[in-house]
Amino acid sequence: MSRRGWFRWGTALVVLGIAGAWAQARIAGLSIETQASNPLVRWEWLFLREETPAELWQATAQHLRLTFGAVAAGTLISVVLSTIAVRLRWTFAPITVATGFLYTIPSVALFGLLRTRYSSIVAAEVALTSYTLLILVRNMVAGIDGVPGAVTDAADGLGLSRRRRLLTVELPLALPVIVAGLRIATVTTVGLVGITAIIQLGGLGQLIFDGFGTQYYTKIVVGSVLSVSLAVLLDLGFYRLEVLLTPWARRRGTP
Amino acid sequence: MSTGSAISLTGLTKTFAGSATPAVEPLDLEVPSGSIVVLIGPSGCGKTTTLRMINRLIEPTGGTITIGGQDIRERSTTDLRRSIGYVIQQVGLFPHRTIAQNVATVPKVLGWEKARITDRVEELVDLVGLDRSLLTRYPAELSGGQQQRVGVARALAADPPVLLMDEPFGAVDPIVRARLQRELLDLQDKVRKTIVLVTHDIDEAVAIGDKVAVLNVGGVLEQYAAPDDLLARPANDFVASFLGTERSIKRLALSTVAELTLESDTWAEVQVGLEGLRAAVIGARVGWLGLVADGRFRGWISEDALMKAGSVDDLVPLPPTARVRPDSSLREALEVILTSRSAAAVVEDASGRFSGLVELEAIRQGLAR
Repeated sequence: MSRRGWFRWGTALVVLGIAGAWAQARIAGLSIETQASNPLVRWEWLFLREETPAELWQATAQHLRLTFGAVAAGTLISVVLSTIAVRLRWTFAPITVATGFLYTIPSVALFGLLRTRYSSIVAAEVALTSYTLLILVRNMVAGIDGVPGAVTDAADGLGLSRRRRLLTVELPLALPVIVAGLRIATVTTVGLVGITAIIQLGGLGQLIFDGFGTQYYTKIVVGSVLSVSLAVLLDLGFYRLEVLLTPWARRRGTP
Repeated sequence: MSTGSAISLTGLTKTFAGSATPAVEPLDLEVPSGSIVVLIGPSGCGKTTTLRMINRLIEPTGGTITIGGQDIRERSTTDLRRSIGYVIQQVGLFPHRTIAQNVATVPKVLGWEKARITDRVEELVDLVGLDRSLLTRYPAELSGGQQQRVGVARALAADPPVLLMDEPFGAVDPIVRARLQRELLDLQDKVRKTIVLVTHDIDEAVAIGDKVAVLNVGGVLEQYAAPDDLLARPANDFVASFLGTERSIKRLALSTVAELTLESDTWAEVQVGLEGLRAAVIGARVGWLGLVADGRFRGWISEDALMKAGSVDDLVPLPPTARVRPDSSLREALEVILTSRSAAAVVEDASGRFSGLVELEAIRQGLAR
């Protein structure tokens, strides 16, 4: 099955699972009082408790905000770093080493350390952003490097300025590789956001941490499922964007 | 259409950083306006380096280049390059742009109006022999030969006086290459640009060059001459060995049948009568004779048949198997003679008018000029 196919089926399965569970809960007509034991999923918490939808929505929204903030900031910084690396070749190695070093710092430690000096939100975004840099910079530079030499030679020979060559030739052609980097960075960040729960953020991670603290497994399961769904949906979204932006990539072969 | 500007290289040198020996030694070369000059030589002879110095993709270490009398350093590189067509072996079409957008590249950066660009793009695809339906396609959807044509159209888009071509037909198969070479010559008849073309294929060089510059390693100009001169009188052993062992065969492709002196005593007009024909066949001393009537070649007749015939009307000439046109190359004439098992080929124009016979001896003498 193609990658695209997997995404489709994965998303469909998650949606079906949730819908099925909801239907089952409604049909069973469960109420909060009837549950005595501690099952993995308490459907009544998920579907009958009044506060649940708002809480889930809030957690998901925060998760999304943290993810987008980090990926957006990371993209901006990476564009600057990549431009420098492409123009001044010798800077590429130090930039890779520096962003690679950031990537190796354990996330729990980084969140905690930054929290001692900054507010939660700043600490979280700074740390999350720093984790996206290695992947984004490497893919941006690889994308530009992957543009065939003949194409850049022709661009120069036709008299395109360096800036025009970068913006109208190299960047569009590097797009698939750059978007691939964005997808990996986003999916990684969605996972990492959960860990910011240790500094009282975390979005869906907070839900999961709560679940651990109170032995309320439903929250762990629901938080995980939503987090995974988020990652899959965002990945799919970026893939869609790439398809939209690279119409030439799918028309091949002689007529 | 603006026609070509002369290019003049004076004392041009290039030594690459970190290299002890120069890639191009002081090189002087005059490229006449409106002509095709081919740079040829072995690897490392600096032919591509020289070409790329003309549009400043490589900056010379010393010397000057002028185009139409103007020093190329007086203009910005982008300005200069937009006035010089550039075609490379790998074509280098922009994969994310349609054919129309590719061809429109330079007019667009020059800020032409949309309607003017559209007109120009259509004019160009017609000029290079592409179908307009390809305009909305992407390069990957075209064959190698079609892509190369688009490359030429893109290079000519802003009607530059000069066209630089770096092994433009190196990546296509021999059949397509031969066709593209012919098309380039047809195109040149229409546009009369000053073209500098780099190749490593001597056949290509002599086929399309008005003049050929043979370069040796280090950018040493060994000989600069018209193809026929080059093949007939190589300046030294290097040039001779570079041209290969079949110089005469190659020269055959450069001359046409019309350039030969078609003196032949192996044909006669039917009007001279039977006796006259008999005298002619004896004079020809080959045992056969070609018969011509009303300006047309009627066929071959053997000495035996002529002697036995009662009248001219009894003669049943054998139709000729070898025919060439006045504008056929000597190479084609030789080919026709060798495959037909005739000793001579009949020269006729498109309307069938007879103008003489080509024999092997005539071809040999043609090369002796």
